[in-house]
Amino acid sequence: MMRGTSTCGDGTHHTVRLLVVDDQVVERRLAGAIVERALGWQIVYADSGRSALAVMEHEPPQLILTDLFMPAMDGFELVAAVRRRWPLVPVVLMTAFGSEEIALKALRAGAASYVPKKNLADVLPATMEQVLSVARVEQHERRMLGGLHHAELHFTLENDRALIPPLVAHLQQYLDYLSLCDATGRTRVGVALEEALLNAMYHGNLEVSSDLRQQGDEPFYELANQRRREPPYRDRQVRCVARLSRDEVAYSVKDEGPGFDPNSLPDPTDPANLERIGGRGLLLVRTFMDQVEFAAGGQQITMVKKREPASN
Amino acid sequence: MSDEPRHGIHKTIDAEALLAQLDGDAATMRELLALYTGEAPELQAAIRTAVGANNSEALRRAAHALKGTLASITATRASAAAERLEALARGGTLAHAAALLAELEQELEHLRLALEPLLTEDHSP
Repeated sequence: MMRGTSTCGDGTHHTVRLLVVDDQVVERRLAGAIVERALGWQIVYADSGRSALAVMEHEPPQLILTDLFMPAMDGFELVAAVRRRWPLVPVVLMTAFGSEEIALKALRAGAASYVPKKNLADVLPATMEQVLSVARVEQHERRMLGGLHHAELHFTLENDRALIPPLVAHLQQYLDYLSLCDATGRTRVGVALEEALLNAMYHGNLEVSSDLRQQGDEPFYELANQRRREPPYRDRQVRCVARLSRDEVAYSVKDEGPGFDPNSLPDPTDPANLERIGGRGLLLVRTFMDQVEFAAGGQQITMVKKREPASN
Repeated sequence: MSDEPRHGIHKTIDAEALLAQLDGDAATMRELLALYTGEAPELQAAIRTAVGANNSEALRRAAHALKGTLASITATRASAAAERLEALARGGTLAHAAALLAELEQELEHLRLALEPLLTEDHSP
């Protein structure tokens, strides 16, 4: 590989651009000069998180190296903003001596790595190369998954609500691969899926009534936990099928409870029912998805989200 | 810099270590030192103003900034003096701030003298 470049799949070389963010000019120039000299990368500079985002809008670099404490948008806020808008651009933090605890907090918030400012020259070049190589694999994987056009996924879940968030997150990823909707649409689909899965577990399989919840969460979950161990509830499962294409995604969630008459549900569009928990879940599902249908005597809900016009 | 030790100056800045960090690039080292020289009056004034106004939060921020800048150019003694002011400011009371400020200003003056030859000399191998 040529110095200062990274090689793409077609064998072409691209100069690696690093954005260095620090409010102190001497510190950001030192960090930039170390990388420039050791790796031959092209360096661009910004003096705050806010000006870093302006650089990102104009021409995003492959990596960002940032200080933590800056007046106009600090390193934490920058990590969060970059993660939202440019999830494939890794952010590495520079930390002053003794701030490992803060570094840990930043790593949890989504930073790719951190380097102590003390002895920067010893660790910075190797860290930059390591983070770039991991990011490259992710960027290529994302391009590969961008070629996905059709998939069908089948899941069978026991009645444990801990399984719902990871399943929802997993299914949400496909919305990105298929470029089906923006971040808001992604969140809304996630909320609708979660409501449907919770409903199938608690109201369908475990037959715990929403009415119980009007008295607070405790009796509701107490009864649910008890039933998870008792027949016939414990033998029931939730089936979730996702049919994904570039035009739309359809999710079916089916429980093995006694079912219900969907027409007996309180009218979710009636403001009086917004206060009722059961009505609220269905209102969210109906609002966030383009099509909602019940089948199998109320045991199954099918929700469709169509491609948003602005996405491509 | 000559190898002959000059009192109070020799340890003020470790130019060799700075040059090693830059892989021997003397021009970039001079650029960094010139950047510091340009920034120093403002950073120093911010500290003086904060001490004068008895504003511990402003002093903490200003001393933190100067500490990092000084550490970057291997001016460890001056950086340590700035760090003492930062620690004092973090405590919230600025008693002894004047004494620590005098110490810092003395170190910064030593540094200014030590930088003069480095800003013009050629340090390339």
